Amino acid sequence: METLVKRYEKPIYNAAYRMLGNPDDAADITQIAFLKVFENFDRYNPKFKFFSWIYRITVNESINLLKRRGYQEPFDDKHPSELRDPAALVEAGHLCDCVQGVLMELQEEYRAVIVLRHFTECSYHEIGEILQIPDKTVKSRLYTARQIMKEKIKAQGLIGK
Amino acid sequence: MNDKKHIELIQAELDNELTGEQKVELDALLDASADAKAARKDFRDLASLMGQVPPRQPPETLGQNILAQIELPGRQRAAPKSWAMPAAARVAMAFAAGIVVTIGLFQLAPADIGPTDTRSLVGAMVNDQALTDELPLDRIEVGLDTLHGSVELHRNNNLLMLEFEFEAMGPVDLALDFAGQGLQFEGFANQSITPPRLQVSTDSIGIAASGDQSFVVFLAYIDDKNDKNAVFEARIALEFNLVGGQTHQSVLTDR
Repeated sequence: METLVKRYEKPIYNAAYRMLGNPDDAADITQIAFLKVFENFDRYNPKFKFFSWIYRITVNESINLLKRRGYQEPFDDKHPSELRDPAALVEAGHLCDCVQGVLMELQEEYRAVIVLRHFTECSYHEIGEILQIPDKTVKSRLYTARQIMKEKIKAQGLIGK
Repeated sequence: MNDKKHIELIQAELDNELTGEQKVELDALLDASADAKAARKDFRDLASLMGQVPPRQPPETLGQNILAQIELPGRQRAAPKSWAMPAAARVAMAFAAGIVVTIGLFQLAPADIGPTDTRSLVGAMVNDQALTDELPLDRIEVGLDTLHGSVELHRNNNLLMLEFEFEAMGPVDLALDFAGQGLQFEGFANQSITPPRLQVSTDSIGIAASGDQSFVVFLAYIDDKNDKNAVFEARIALEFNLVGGQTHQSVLTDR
């Protein structure tokens, strides 16, 4: 189990953080995901990849947490308005805030496909397996999510110059 | 070629899911359509922007916390914010297992104790299987605008356990005063993601914390109370001070 924790702690934490936008919540969900894996190890179906299983738990637990709260805390995007150049934002450590702020404006099902595709580099098929949706739905959700993000990020002047 | 088709091709390229045949189709599309080219650029820019976001580092203690919880014998459904068991029971299991769960433990002769920051203190707790999760000897609830939670007092022989479970919207300074009660600080067990900071003296403890907190402070009667007929009696004054001047004062009593 220690090997699994070492290997997946960081990606799981990052996936949870991208879903939730809050480091404390992300740490909590990471713990919950590993504990659930541990508790249900005997039910693990080796037909599926291990990471699909733990990512599924992570995404579901993240969505459950957001639903339990019934509201979403506004993401605190602290970047100064004069910093609009992506390179400057990266340098100042603010790009994460900009992207995370836009992510948090997406509905959870759209946020999940973006997180899995862009932050954990899953394929369509893997995303479908994790979210238990057909590949076709993965593609259409990705497209919608990207369209929304593109417009919001364009409005911030970070792309489309 | 219709919009739906070109969107599918652009996305497939972006996601490394393009087949050889589709690649030819996409190249032809891009040669023929300025709109398709612009759409492709936007999506690529967006993907590139997300690609520049560096991964976040998890808290240093996260892995240890996970393993510590997994390794607790007889552990029930455990989750950081929805533990089914009271803190004393969890700590008791940690005691029984003799494992370290971010615990600082130290004993000092009263004369040696000065203001001490215990953040760096780490040690293994003593083995004591008799710790209990029975009803608390005393309990207080705190319900302020920016802090909600409870503190329970449990005792096992001469060891008092003060279980703190609260959620604070901002920084909170806690003061425990046990002057003249025949008690001394015996240890501290933390289950919070963000550990509180302690300042310990001979007859009081200061705790600075924020966010969700779950920790236990251990105090021990100084005199030998192994005698069956020994009388345990102590009053521990608690004061919560929050930013903005809100305060809450209570007393936990063992008798």
